[in-house]
Amino acid sequence: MPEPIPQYSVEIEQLSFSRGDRPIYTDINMRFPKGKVTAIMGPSGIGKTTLLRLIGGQIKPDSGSIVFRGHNIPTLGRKKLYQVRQDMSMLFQSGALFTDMSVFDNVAFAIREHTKLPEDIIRTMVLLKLEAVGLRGARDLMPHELSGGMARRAALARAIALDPKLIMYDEPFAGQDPISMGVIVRLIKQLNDSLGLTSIVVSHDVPEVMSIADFVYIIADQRVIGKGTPQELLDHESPLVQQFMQGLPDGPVPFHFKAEDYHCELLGGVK
Amino acid sequence: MILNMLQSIGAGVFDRIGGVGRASIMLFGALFGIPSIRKGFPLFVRQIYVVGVQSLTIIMVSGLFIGMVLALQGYTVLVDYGAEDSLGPMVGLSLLRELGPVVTGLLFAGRAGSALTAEIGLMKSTEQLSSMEMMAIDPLRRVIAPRFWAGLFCMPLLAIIFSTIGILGGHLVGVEWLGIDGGNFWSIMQSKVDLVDDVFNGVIKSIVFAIVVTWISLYKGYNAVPTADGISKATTDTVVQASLAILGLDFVLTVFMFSS
Amino acid sequence: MDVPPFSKENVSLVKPRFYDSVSRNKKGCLFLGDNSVWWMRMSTRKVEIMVGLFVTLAIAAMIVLAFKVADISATGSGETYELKAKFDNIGGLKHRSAVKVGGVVIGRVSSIILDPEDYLPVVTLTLELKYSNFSETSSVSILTSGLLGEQYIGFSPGFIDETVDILQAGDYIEDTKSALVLEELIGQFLFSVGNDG
Repeated sequence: MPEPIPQYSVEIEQLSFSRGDRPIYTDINMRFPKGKVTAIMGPSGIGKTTLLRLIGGQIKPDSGSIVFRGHNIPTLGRKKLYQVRQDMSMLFQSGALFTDMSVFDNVAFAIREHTKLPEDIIRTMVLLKLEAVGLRGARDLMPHELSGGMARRAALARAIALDPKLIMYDEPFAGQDPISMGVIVRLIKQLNDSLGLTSIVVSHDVPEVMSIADFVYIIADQRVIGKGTPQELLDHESPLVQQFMQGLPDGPVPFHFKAEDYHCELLGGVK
Repeated sequence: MILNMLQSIGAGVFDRIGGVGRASIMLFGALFGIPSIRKGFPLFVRQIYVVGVQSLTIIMVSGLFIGMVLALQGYTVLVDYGAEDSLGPMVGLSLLRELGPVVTGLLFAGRAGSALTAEIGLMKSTEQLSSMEMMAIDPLRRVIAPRFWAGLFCMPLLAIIFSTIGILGGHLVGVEWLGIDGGNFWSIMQSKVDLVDDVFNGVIKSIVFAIVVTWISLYKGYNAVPTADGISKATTDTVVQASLAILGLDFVLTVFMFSS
Repeated sequence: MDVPPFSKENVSLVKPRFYDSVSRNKKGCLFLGDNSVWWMRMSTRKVEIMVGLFVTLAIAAMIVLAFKVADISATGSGETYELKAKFDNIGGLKHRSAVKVGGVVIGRVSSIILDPEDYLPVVTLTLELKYSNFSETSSVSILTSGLLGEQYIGFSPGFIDETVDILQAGDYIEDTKSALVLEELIGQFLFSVGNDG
């Protein structure tokens, strides 16, 4: 019996991107299987968020292709790009709720903009989404009245408002207390499984990611340094991967920023 | 050394041209960006409230006081020549032609323009604009366009209100307080003020200022560096550049409108 | 779904200000029912009322400017016709100076040009159509209101009988008296004083 061909929601090939003179990615290849949670991990400051923006078409790569459901994102015109974006959605690190609207209106926003549904149907849809993240009772709060964890859950409800095919999480666990972290971890997994979404999670919280990801990429030095299931990565032979997974302070990624020799600098001038 | 200086001048010029180009593209997007009347109109009305109604108090109070001061100062000069009956046209013309559009523009830049810049800059820094884009909603249409049109709509109205209140303030001081004949005040003003030459030209001025101020405010906010520092700089830039643009343009417009 | 529902533990994260307003609205229960829609409509309504007031105020101001300040009713949006007059010297006459008959304004100066042949100023008067029955013998002179006041055109209607025609639109008024130029007067006065002495 032939193995079923794996279906990929997003395929990135030979992607290069640089910001000014500083290269961020050189020729990376990644694939994100449909219906699975794929995590992208790596030290901070290597442009993980940039990768999500590239997939979303907000910035254009120097070269390479990003194929989402048969569309090569960097080559799309404006109109087509906006059409394709209706199938994807992104949870920003800050939540990025619209501060001048209540939680209810935030979730209803995309539905109102993209459809001509009557208000009572919109209400039902919004309440369903809010129920899914446990915030049905908080619908009339303004974003500034929410705690950080609640804001992120409200943003999650907004992200799934139009039932996207792909959802990208930018650092969903950053700055959360353990309880809301646990809630969000569970929500990501649940939504992925129940709605048949493809999820891409960018994070550097190793244990949380390991608990929900089906597949993990580790990025450093402008390229993919390790990939595989969480279990495979735990047994990975690369010292860089091991340093990252175990959170060791020093190793291939040095503790010290590039500097002159310590002794020379302290005793500067003294021979 | 000289080459370096030339290079930095050249780079500066290119930077400016690039900025004007980006700003023009944004303006273009805003002008033709209203998605539909049904969805756009409520946004437009809400922005009129934010931009226009909330600027009304400062505009009315300033107009009243400027009109009263004009009358007071004008009276002390005119009375020496026995020409205090000309106070009406003096107050009316200076308000309608110059002070109405210009002072309204300056106050508008300080009150509404800086608020627009800060609001949009903050929306940018909190990733609200980005997330709108990812929701396949063009922030130029949803955020910039209603604000632009509201600014364009409100400022001429504010300028008209400013001038009218100023003239009433001048009447208050001149007629009620200093005792000029009320009939003369109005009739000489009426003989000197022309609806097209003075009132409409003033309105045209304020429309031009509205475009410039709103445009600068929105562009500065939209292109702000998304940090606290960047937004504070963008807000300052808005007020400074919009004020200078108003004063410069006012001179040019005055030359064309009133010098013949 | 076994997501925790909105519970008291979560509520404690909400700011107290909100808490108050909720418990007052719905006897301690956090659920606001349809209040979200009510709140939105109310706020939109308030905004719309304020915007309506603002626009009304602006229109009122415009009306004040039009009728009280610029007085379009008097400057005649009605029908007009034009007459021309050639002067030797127009003094300080300007575009939009008044044309008066016995002190009553009947029109305004609409243009002042120099005749390219004899280099004399030609003044075009735009008069209201209801004052159109002036004869050819009418005369115009440039007068000054007061010693330092502005200059205007004094229009003296001529007599009317069978021998004279009525002025038609575009006609020239033949009988004109130029402006008195103060400097010339003083010059003449000094000259005559010098002659006497």
